[in-house]
Amino acid sequence: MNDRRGLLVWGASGHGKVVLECARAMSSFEPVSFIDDAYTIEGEFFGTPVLGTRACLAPALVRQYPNMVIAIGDNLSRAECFSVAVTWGFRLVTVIHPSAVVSCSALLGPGSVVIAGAIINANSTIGSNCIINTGATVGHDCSVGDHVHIAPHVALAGETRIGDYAHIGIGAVAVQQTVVGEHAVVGAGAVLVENVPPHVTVVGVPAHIVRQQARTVFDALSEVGSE
Amino acid sequence: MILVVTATLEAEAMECIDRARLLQNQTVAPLRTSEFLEMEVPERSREAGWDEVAIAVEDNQARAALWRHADSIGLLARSLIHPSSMISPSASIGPGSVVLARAVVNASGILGRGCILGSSSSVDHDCVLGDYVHLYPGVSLGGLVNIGRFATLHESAFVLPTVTIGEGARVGVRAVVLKHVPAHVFVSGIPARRSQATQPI
Repeated sequence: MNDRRGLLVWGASGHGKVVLECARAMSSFEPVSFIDDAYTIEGEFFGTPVLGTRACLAPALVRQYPNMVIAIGDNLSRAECFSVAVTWGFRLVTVIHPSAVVSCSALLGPGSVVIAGAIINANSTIGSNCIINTGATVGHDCSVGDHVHIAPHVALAGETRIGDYAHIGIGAVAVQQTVVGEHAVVGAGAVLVENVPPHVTVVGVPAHIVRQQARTVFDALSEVGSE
Repeated sequence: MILVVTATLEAEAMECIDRARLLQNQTVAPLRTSEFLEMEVPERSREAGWDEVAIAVEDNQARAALWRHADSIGLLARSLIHPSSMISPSASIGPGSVVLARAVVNASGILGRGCILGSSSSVDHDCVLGDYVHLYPGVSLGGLVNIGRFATLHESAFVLPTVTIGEGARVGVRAVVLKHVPAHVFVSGIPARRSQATQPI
């Protein structure tokens, strides 16, 4: 309890499992438990205790589990939980799977998660509370904002800039120096050859705008799905 | 000792054999499929010292037939897992599956028997792959994807979370699958649609 290695993973879901395994693979955290807003009573998920909802957060818990990481795919929900965790005084830790490659000149913000097989190259900056998912690659000199989700197998070429809260869908590719605005949603498999304004959804090869003002990431994704 | 059964004994197969040597630090020998199918009596293979077999054949149906033959002559299935791949401790890989360099299987992923995961492919949390599924290099599956047996996903195909792909279906190169794919159809494009094409692009 006193060695300050306890870790809470917020979100007992599929993505939560992946983050939990990344944290375990780092061998830096013990004990590790979940909290999840769907667990009104204490329970267990994936062989790991779920202590309850955010209502169980208390100073004693922060002492037992000084470290926190948010494992929720939706950017806005993840950001909201992030601010709650910061308010409680948790240390938002960066979780990097040992099989990921992160350049020693890259910077990662607090609470960001780098899943297995991802690559972050020289001089790139990743903001706080981001997800760099399975096998995604971030080229040199990229700048990724806060609360961004880079889905599996996305490839960002060098000097790409991604705004806060953007969602880059599975397998999307951005050419060098692309700028993606905040809250933008990039559809799965899209190829970005020009800049993406804030608050739009783009899909296709080459990517084109299909709607303005994405309300939330998941609204927008379901729109893409029904296209 | 491991017997590696291949269709061609060409470059690809030799690479597979090299990997097997590297992985298991064991004696490995290549054998053509035709010779393997002629091997009828278990004793014959054991006399030669072979107890395990890996099958490096691309075609799903052909691979399944070879595995049935391996079962019938009592050889044990050997999975080949490249050391640079990442298999989650909670994932399970069926016997005889081949996982190539830098492939990733995340939490609770389940692979059936005789599957092939190509280089740099990724299988996310809670995915279930049936028997004899083939993911070509660079394929990426979102979480909770379900793939029926004998399905083939060609290079850099992407599948959104929770989508189901039917038995024997084929997904074209760089297709993006947003909706369920019925059994035995071929889909391609972004978003993936049914296609009459015979080529995987």
